[in-house]
Amino acid sequence: MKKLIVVAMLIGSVAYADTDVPGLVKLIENQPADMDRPAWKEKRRDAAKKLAQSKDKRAVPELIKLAENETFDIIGETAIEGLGNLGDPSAVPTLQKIVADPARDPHQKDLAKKALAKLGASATAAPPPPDKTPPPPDKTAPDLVAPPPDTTTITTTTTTTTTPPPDTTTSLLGGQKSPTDVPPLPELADDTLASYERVTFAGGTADFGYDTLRKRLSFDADVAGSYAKRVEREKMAWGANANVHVVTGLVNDSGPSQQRGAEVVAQGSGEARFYSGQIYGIGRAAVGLQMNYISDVDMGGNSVKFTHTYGDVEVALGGGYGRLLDIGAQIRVRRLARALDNNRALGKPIDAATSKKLQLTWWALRAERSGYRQLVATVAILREAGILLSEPDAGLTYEILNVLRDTQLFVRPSGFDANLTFGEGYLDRPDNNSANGRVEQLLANAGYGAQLDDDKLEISGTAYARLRLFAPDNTPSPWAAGATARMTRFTYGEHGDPFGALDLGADVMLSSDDLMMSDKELRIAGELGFTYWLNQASGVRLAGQVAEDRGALFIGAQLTATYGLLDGTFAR
Amino acid sequence: MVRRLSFVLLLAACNAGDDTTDGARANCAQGGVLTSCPEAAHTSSGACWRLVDCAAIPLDAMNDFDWKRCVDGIDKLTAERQNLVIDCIAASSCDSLKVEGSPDHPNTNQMSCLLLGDQ
Repeated sequence: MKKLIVVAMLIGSVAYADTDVPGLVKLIENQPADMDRPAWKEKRRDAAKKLAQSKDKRAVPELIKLAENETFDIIGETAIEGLGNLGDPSAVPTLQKIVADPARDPHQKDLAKKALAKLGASATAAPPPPDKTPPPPDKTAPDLVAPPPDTTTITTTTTTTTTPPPDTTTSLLGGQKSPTDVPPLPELADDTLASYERVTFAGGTADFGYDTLRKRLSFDADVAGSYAKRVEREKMAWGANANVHVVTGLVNDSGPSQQRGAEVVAQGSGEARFYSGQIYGIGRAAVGLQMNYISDVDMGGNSVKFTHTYGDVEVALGGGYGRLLDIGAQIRVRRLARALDNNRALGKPIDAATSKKLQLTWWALRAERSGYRQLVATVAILREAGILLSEPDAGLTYEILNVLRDTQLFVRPSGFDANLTFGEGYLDRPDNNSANGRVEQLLANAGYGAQLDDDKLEISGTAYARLRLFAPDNTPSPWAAGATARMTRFTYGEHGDPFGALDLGADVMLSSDDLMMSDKELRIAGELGFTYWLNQASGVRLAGQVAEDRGALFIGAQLTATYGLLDGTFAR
Repeated sequence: MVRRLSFVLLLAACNAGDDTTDGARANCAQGGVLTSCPEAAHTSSGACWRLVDCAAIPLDAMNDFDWKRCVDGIDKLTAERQNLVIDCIAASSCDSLKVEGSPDHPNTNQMSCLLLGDQ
């Protein structure tokens, strides 16, 4: 037995001794003339793995350099792991800097913590990271279209070496970004089931006009913006949103007639849920403020001018069952896996950790107009994880790009959720408004979503009910209930081009104003529409509607266009 | 099609037998910011549907301001006044669209968004 161990050690020693550390370092730092860049990148990664497994202390300086500088490529992670395995304490400061660096990928930070543990060092004793701000770019550098130089020479205290620069691309603002220089990924707890952050600016309309013939000035503007964030964790969930809407205008005729107005509406709300299994307790709070200013002078010179302010402060408490998640980003990962599988390039299924890394990378890059860095980062992540078997060819690259730019993967609900809450609020209204004062109400909400047929068919629905409680004497207690059901068929071209969506919907509303002589009212409506996607979250929609309300029939058709871009979502 | 639809509407009004048909109200018609509605279409009919949904006006009334008078009134405005009125109604909360007499006999002189279309 002892002989066997000695032989094994000797074989191991020979293996370590056989590692050509200088040769591997040279390969990492210099691209051979007879090797193209993708092949060289593969060779660099392989060389780094060999250095990490070499047990040769001469590999430590190179691994430190890679761990410090390769913040995105898998080669950086290989180096961090290798520093832990090599057992050289000189790596401790570098690893501590990585742990303390807020811009670092959480996965790399985790690897650095593990490496420090192997070295017996603390992860929290790291000194503050040095200022690594690069020097300002050379103003005389070539124009945007000029390619970057193949190599950059850096001088150290002991040697002069060449190291490859990252691929660079040009941002919209003219600066240069590396495709692997992904902004810090959103921090999500390990038990996060889904999360999203949405920023929408709706420009609406803005018109200005004046002519000397009528001597008439007119102006109107309608602008709005909203922000929403939600995090769903196993034991709790929270969400918040805020929106502001401004409408203003002026019409100044040549005569005495003049109308001026401004309306500002601001609303904010928050929600928290605490789960025990599928059952949850829920708390909601909402505030609203609206200001209307009107100045109206008619043709006869009669004028009306007033300012009205409306304020809402409300809270609601209750309970519910289930959870409705937006799994659009998860479906994007599934579509990606299908595209790889169809092209025989899927080495293994996309695991949960890689899925999370992909989704958070897309989230971090969501504001980019170009999909270039998303594509490069996605391919790099898939290659690093061993999921993408080789560098993708043109056809597969196109299909991956189609998946990344798929406009039909925003707001894709999955699950069932229903809750019942009691709301208490104070509404500040002008004197002539019947809603002024305290209001108590019972509120019910439900939602359902299912993604079927390889995520190309969506069945979804919502329902609500409200009833005013404890209304003062001679004040009505109106109630209402309603439900919406929708089926959407998403269509794609042969190579995954998102084409459009055909949807069929039905709405039913039942209500009572609870006034003298008023009846229960029922409205049933149906809609058939087709949406043609222009780009991410933007599209043109043609729809036909039929509605019936107390015997009156309404038939209509609509052509609408929407624009939005800034969604970031995650679902485990 | 327009003549046919008008006929249907007229028939419906006769069948109702009442002076006023309220129309179904949406979730946001009452209760402040805790209740919400989808955004109204930025058309004259969409704006008037919002007034009905919010319990600000009736769907159909013999002598009062109702959905059809609302649509006709907005359609008669100049383009810039139409924009102002429709955008104002679409952005408003339901309670700010209600006035004295709402929903059956609304005092239109108090409807701030409609005043923007006065001429």
